[in-house]
Amino acid sequence: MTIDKDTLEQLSEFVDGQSKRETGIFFAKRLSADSELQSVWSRYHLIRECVRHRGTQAQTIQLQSRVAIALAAEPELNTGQLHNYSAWLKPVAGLAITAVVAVSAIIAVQNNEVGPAQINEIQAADTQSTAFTTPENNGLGPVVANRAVPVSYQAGASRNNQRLNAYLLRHSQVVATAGRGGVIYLAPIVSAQNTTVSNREQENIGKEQINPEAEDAAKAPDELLENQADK
Amino acid sequence: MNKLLLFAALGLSLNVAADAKEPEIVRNWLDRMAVAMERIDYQGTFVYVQDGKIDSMRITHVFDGESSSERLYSITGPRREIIRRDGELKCVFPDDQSVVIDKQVNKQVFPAIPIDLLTSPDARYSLQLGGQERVAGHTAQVIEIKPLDKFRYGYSLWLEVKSGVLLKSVLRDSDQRALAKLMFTEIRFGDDVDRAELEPDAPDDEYVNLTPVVPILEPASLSERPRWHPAQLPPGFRLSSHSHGNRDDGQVFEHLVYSDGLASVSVYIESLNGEQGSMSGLSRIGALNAYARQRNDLQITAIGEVPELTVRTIAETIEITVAGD
Repeated sequence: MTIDKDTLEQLSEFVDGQSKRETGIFFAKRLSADSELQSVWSRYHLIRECVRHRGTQAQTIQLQSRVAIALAAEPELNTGQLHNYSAWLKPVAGLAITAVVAVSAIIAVQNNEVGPAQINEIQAADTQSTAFTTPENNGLGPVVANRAVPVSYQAGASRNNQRLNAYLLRHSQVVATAGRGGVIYLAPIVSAQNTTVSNREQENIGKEQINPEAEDAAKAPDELLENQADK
Repeated sequence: MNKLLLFAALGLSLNVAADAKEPEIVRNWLDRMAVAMERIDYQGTFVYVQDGKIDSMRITHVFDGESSSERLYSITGPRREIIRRDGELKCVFPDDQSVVIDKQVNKQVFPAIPIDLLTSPDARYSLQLGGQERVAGHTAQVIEIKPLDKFRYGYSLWLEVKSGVLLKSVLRDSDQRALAKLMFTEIRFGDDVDRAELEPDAPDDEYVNLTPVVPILEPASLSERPRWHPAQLPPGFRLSSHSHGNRDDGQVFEHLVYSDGLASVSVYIESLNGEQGSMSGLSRIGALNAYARQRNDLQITAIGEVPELTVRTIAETIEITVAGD
C-alpha cells in the first residue's frame, strides 16, 4: 500500500461528494493514471453502495457524475474528432415526425464534391490490402469530404429523417440481437441527445446552421473535465 | 551450456505457441461475452462518454430460458429509454409522450455474426489478451482488439472473469484514439436483479406512436444471391444476412448485413417510387456513420458503427443490377 492516510481520507471525501473543486480535479486526473488509487476508489464506491443499498436516483447521479469526471479525465479520448450533431429520434410533443425532427434526428453532413486527391486518399486508406480499390468518382453521385457541416432538410425532410431513423433502429436490432449481445450496444443512441430541441433550433428549420453542441464537442477533455467539476 | 540453449529454444517455442493461441483465446472470450450478454441476468448503472458528452444510464437484462428482455434508460438529461422484448424494439420518450416501435418478429432475419472471421487468414484485427483489472468491484479480463486498416474501429474490452459480461469498453479509431467509452460503476447478477425495473416508469398507452417505415422482412437464404450487392467490399467483410420484403405501398425493400466478425454494416435498398427529396451524403451519430445515395429510382443507404470510409465505400459500390440480368 503506497497511498498515505491523508490521501485516503481525501479520496473518501471525494467519493462522498464532499471535496473541494481543486481536490476533485486532482483526483480525477490521478485516477486516470493510478491503478492502485482506482482500485481503492472502486472499493469505496462498492462500500458506499452496500451501506446505502442502491441509494436514491439523485445519489446515483452524483456517483455517475464523479465517475464521469474520472472517465473524462482519462487520456486520449478523442472528443475533438467527432462532432455531436446528432440527437436521435427526438420527436416534438404532440406531433408525429415532421420537419421539426429534421433538426433533431441524424443530421446530414454537407456534400462536397471532391477531386482526384480525395479519391486517392480513400484508396490509400486500406493499408493492408492493395487488391482492394474504392470506386472512381464515376458520376454515380457526389463523394463527401470530411468537413462535417450540419444541414437541415427542406423537401422530403421529414420522410428522410423518418427513413434514416428507421434504418438506424432496425440496424440496432441487428446489432443487439446478433452476436454482440443486447441493448447495451444501443447506448450511443440513448446518449445521442442530452439536450432537448431548443426553440432557436426550431426557428431555424430549413436554414443551414451550426449546431451549438458542436462547440462543446470541440472542447478539450481537460476543459470538459473542469466544466464537470464546476457543476 | 547446451542445456541453457535447449531451455532457451524451448522457452522461445513455447512463447511462439502461446502467441499463436492468443487470438483463439481472445475469440473464446468474445464467444463467452456474446453468450453471457444474452443469457445471464444482469442489472447495473454505467457511464457513457461520447463526443465530449457524458451520460449515465441504467440497464436491466433478464433471460427467461428462451429469449431475453431488456430495458436501457438514461438517468441524466431528458428521459429516454429503449426496451427490447419479444422481437420488438421500443424507444420511449416519456418527456414527449412519444414512442417508436420497430417490430421484426422473425428472428431469422438477424444474422449470426461470423466471429470465426476474427481468427481466419482474412482477419482484419489483431487480437491480444491483456491483464486483469478491477471494474465496478469485479475482476475483469482485458481484451485488446486492434484494427489493421482504416475500415473498422478497434475495441478495448474488460470482461468479468467469471461470466464474461462486459464491464467496460473503449471504442478506438485506427490510430488508437478513443472515440467512446462505456464503464459500469455498479452491476449485479442473477437473483440480485430486480425484474420490476424492466417496466417503463410510465405507461405509454397514450403516447403518440411514431411508426417507422421499415417493413417486416423475410429472410433469404445466403446462397440466394441478393438482387443488389457491392461490387467491392472493404476487406474482411462478408454478407452475413439478407432479407427482403415490401413496403405498405408494395415497393420493394431489401436489407443486407455485412460483417467482419465484429463490426456490422446494414445496407438498405428501397424504391423511391418517384418520391422527391431523396437522401444523399453522410450522416453521423457518435461513432455510427450512415451514407446515403440515390441511383435511378432507388435509395441506397449503408449504416454501421464503422468509419465513414466504410459506409461510403459500400454504398458507392452497390451494383444496381438484378441478379440474372
